Amino acid sequence: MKARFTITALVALLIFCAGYAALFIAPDEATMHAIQRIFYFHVACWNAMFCAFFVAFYASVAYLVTGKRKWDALGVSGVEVGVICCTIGLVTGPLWARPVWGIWWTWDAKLTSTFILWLLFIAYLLLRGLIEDPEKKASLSAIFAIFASLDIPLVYLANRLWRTQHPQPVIAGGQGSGLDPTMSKVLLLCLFAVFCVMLLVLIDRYRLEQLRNECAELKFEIESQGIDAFDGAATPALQKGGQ
Amino acid sequence: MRRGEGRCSQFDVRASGGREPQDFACPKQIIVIANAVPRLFIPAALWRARDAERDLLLTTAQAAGIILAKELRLEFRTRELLTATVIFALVVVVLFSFAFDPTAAESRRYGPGLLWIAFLFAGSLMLNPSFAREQNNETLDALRMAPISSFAILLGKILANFIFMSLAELVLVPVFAVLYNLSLAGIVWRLILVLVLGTWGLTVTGTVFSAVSAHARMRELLLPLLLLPLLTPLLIAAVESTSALFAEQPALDRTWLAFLAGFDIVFLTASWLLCDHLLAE
Repeated sequence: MKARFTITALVALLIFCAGYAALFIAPDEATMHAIQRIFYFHVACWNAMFCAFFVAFYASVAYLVTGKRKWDALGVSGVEVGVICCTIGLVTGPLWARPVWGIWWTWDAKLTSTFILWLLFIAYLLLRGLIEDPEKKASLSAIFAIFASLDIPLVYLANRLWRTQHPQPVIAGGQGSGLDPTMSKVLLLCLFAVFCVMLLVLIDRYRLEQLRNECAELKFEIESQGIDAFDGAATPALQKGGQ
Repeated sequence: MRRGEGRCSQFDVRASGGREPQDFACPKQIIVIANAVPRLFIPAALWRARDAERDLLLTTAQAAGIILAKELRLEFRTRELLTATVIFALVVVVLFSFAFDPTAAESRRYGPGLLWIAFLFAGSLMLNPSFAREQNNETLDALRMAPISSFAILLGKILANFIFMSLAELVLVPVFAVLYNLSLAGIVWRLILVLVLGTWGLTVTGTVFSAVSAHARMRELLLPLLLLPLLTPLLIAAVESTSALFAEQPALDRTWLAFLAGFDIVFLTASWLLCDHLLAE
């Protein structure tokens, strides 16, 4: 408990430092000025989202291969945390786009694919809520997660062929690209900080899911014992009533 | 479950579908064709070696043929699924013309999109009963007990849904062309190619998710919710390649056709890999 408190405090400090660095240390961008500072968290959220969804994909495959419940718990944690990161990214994107591009939203390849990604994993969470049987819930949602993960490259490719407006990769995009050294340091700090927050939430969510599973199992055990006891007492009375 | 129903014989697989095998003429031919297909791919020596076990274990293609025959027989007794699908897609097409009142040029531009939206919506409704109706009498358990691979069950259902969807399209496309003043002359074969590739992708993913949503509450609502976002790449590719055919100079867009084929292959492979988990008890 104490260790967890310390780690949480450390991550909180880290994200505070990252916020300070992004707002005050990073240099002003030449054309976009202050609004560009949203970039440090926008990019960091996408990075964290990809990591979370990758964890979910890996855990789904691992669940189908091994059949162990802990992988299912990790899968659902990955998806939930990924959806949160995705939502933050989808909100910060338009906030940045409106002053810079002049529009809130555009149907470009990256934006559209992310939106579909978000919809797919929201559907995953809905699916989990609508299946009662825990075994079925785990295996079917793992199958859906794998299908959804396979779909994402295709969505991206289709939209890429179709139309695109989002800026080309700036950091490693060949000639003329690249960030100011201070900017890239701040960006790295932000990437790391948001990743740590994501990891912390993910681990906590995983623990919670494990506890929930344990709780459900214990409840089931108590109930099945209770029904046995009830059956033993009730049967003679029922037989009497029947006669 | 009655005694002896788990016995390993071809008859059980058939019995789970309907009452009498002879009330529908098609199955025999389909089984003969299905029998011949694996011979094309399996070397003769290996084929002979498998002869001994074939009595016990049906080959996937044979079993899929039997499942397909059962599905067809079930559907053609009532034809209600097919009728409902065609009428639903027709309603979408008609409502669209009220909502947008398109001119001739506009229908050429929006027509392909509308056509595929209608197919996708109709498909996501039509594919729902595919596995859901196996739940009423728990006939899926009987299918699972048969000595066939789970991919055979899935493949049989995919093929059946593909046939239903294609029949619906066969009715809808000419009606659509008449209502929106589009000429099909000269592009029929190319259009069929696009329709086949698109419909195959739709039925493969749709049948898989019909098996997923069959176990959930509110499955009628859940299936479109799972399926439609997943089908966006298919929709884009199918609409783009259909628009290229309806343009002033009809042309077959090879990039999008390749994309459609890629989509079909990726999801058929994924279904093949995951079908044991999909249909496991």
